[in-house]
Amino acid sequence: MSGHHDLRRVGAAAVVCALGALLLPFEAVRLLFAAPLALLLPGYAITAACFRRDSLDRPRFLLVSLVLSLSTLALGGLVLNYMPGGIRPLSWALLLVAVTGAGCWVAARRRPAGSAPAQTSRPSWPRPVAAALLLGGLAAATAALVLSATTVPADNVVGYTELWALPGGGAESREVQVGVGSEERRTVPYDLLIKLGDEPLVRHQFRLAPGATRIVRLRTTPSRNGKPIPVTATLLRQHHTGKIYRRVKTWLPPLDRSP
Amino acid sequence: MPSQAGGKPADAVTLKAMQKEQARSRPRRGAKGSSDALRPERPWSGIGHLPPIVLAAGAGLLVCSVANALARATLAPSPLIFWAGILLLALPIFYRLTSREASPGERLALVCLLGLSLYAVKVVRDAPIFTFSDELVHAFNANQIVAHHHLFQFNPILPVTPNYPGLEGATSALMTLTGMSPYGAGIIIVGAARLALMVAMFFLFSRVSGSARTAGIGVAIYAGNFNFLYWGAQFSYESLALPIFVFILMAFAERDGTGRRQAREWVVPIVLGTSAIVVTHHLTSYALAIFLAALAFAYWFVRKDWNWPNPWRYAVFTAVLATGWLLLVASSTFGYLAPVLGEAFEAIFNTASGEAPPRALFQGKGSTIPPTPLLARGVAVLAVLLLATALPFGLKRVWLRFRERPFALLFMLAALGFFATLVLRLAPAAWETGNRASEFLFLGLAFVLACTGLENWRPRARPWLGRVSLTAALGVVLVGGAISGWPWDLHLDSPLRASAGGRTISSAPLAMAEWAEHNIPEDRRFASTIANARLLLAPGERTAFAGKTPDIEDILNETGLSDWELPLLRENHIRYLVTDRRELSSDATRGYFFTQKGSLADEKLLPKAAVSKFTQIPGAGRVYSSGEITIYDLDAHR
Repeated sequence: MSGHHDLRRVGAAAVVCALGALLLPFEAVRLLFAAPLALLLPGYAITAACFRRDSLDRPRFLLVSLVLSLSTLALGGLVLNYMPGGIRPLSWALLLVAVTGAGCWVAARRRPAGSAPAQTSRPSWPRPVAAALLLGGLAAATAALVLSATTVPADNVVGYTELWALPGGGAESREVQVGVGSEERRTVPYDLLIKLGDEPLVRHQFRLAPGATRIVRLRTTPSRNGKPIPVTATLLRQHHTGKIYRRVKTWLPPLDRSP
Repeated sequence: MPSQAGGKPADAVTLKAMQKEQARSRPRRGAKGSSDALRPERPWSGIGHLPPIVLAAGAGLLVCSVANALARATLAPSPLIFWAGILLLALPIFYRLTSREASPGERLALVCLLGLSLYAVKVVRDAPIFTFSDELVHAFNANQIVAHHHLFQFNPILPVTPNYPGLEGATSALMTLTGMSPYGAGIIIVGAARLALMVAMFFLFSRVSGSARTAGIGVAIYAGNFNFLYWGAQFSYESLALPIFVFILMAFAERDGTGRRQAREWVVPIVLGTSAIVVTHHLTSYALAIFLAALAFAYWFVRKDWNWPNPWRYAVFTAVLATGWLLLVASSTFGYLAPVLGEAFEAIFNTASGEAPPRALFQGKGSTIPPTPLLARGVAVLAVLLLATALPFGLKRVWLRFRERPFALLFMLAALGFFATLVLRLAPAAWETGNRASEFLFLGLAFVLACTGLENWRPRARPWLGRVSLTAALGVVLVGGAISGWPWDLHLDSPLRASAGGRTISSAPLAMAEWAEHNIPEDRRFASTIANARLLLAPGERTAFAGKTPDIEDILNETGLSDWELPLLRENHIRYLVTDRRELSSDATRGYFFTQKGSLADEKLLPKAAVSKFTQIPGAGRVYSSGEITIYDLDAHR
């Protein structure tokens, strides 16, 4: 590949991007490496392998690179599906590096030795006013995206409370888990009553802020007569006593059903 | 005429044609009173007028985002804020695209800006969770691929989708390499595809017309396609397949503009792109085969020759590949598409024969869905009228100038076909078929209308009138198309999450799905209403059935238990039944959000017995309740 600087750079970039995506921490950092590896480099290499240097101008070359990268991703999943190990980070990285490397190799062989890249005019830097306008547009778009991901207060939504009851750890468990999740818009006082069969087991009074969860874990003695025991949780709101707000029911499996 | 100059560099041919076009239509440039009389160079002459237009696009996007934030805050903002944002974003781009001064490079940058800005309008509506019904299905597929390391995993709601794994396979690359969610990876893949769509269309139109100006206007017209703003921007397989479809058409146009030897360079990109479409989306692969076959006939019509550059071999290749995939891998596509197409034909026949009333336009399915306001309907109808009015002028001009070009003939046919699909909108069950076909056919319409030459109309007293009229018309077509293509009440976001007391609370369906994700093992199966089941798929990452196959819909809606219901649930290994009294939960586009005070749609509830009947099932537990939503564990006993 001597003399083909662009191909050497692309090949090296593919390896660096693959290593960066595989080894570095933080999603955003990995994305900086994974995005070019997935969306540009394989297509660039295939395009370079298919076309003579003077066949395509830069915008067309980039378009073909982008579309062929997308096509490589769409077809690459199919290839990896039938490879040992299937679709995993390492297999994707290897595939994309292999496609890029193969493309660069073919391109280097097809290009005449010492062929110079097509002359392209360097884009001039925008002047200060233009740069300020461009940055303003970018800032506005960024603000729009940040705002869209921001949760805002909503006075007209109707809040509610979740109540659930589940055996804590499968069939052999002696634990029952009762949870209360508040999706109310303000702090609400609750009264939680849990019964095992017909016997009141526990009663909790507590307050939950919006978005908060309270989980009550109870260890009980499972039934020894081979029958499951019903566990009922009843939730009342403290200032609305006498009116059942939520009720759920699950079953505590008998002890003799454990494997 | 397309260049026949064998072996000549493609770009030189285009540039020459562009220069010729500019020279031809510049007789009065600089005339007194002319809007574009020679002026001093702009300070940012290197990049044209891009900077202020970028600023306007950013500001327009921010206005759209503010309108969505106000809607999420349940402050019922005027829709005019949103549409003002759209117009602030688009009109400066349209106006500049109609000018004669902009360079091809600037026009290319403008169409990219247009495509990405309008895509961002969709992104700011939904971030950071998918809320379009198909998106949740595809996000589930992507999660399944990453979790199981293989394609073709089961999808309980749209079983055909895993058989076309192109999009999810591509998304899985970014997901596995970065650890991102399907949402993050999905919007990047679809965004990249959207960029490719705009650039490929620009080069396609540019190559066929020989004019970058016509190409830019054509792409701007295409943005008025009914599905461009929302439906076509969602995380769904067609959003990846359509850009590759346009790229392949562009490849044929480029190939035609070169010599035979140089044209061979396009073989690999065309074959790779076609293969990618075949594994990504059924309808797009069939549309590609039809378009290429039509193009082959157009070549024959013009040149009376089946030899090079007639693309009939590629049409056959596409048809064989698509058929092979259909028969060998995706045979369930028959069962998926056949009822849709069958019902469409039946509806057309019934409507045409008067046996069934025509479909009322601009009306939702339920009585609680707010109707589209009169003004919005007017804009939508005006947009179609503008397209229809301009069509004869465009057809005439294309026929006179480009009839020797096979692509131009193909585009003329497609333009006429688009208006045929509008008729399908009057037949209830054919609406969707017409809507889906219009995305492909609009390509031809956009090209034909871009050739009308309205931008060159320069009355002596008001030389700016042609450009301003065209800019205004493009604005109407963009807004009208978006209104026609998406329900009026869904243009703005609804609250899925809200902040309260410094923390975040979630809508009841979303909280239920997140609860299931955290508390129920992954291998357990759910059955629910359409909206809840989709949220259980993503972000819940649980297998959830809904709808008619199996008949979950009747199980959930009937007020009593029938003999067949429990066996059916057991047969499908369904352990958890999610009931929801809100009728809205059967709506795949509106059922995900918070209940709002005073909302008629939210107040419509199923009878209590439809939910409480499941307590009669022996051994069933009522393990979760959040008011209207309840989860029954059918095997809580064990």
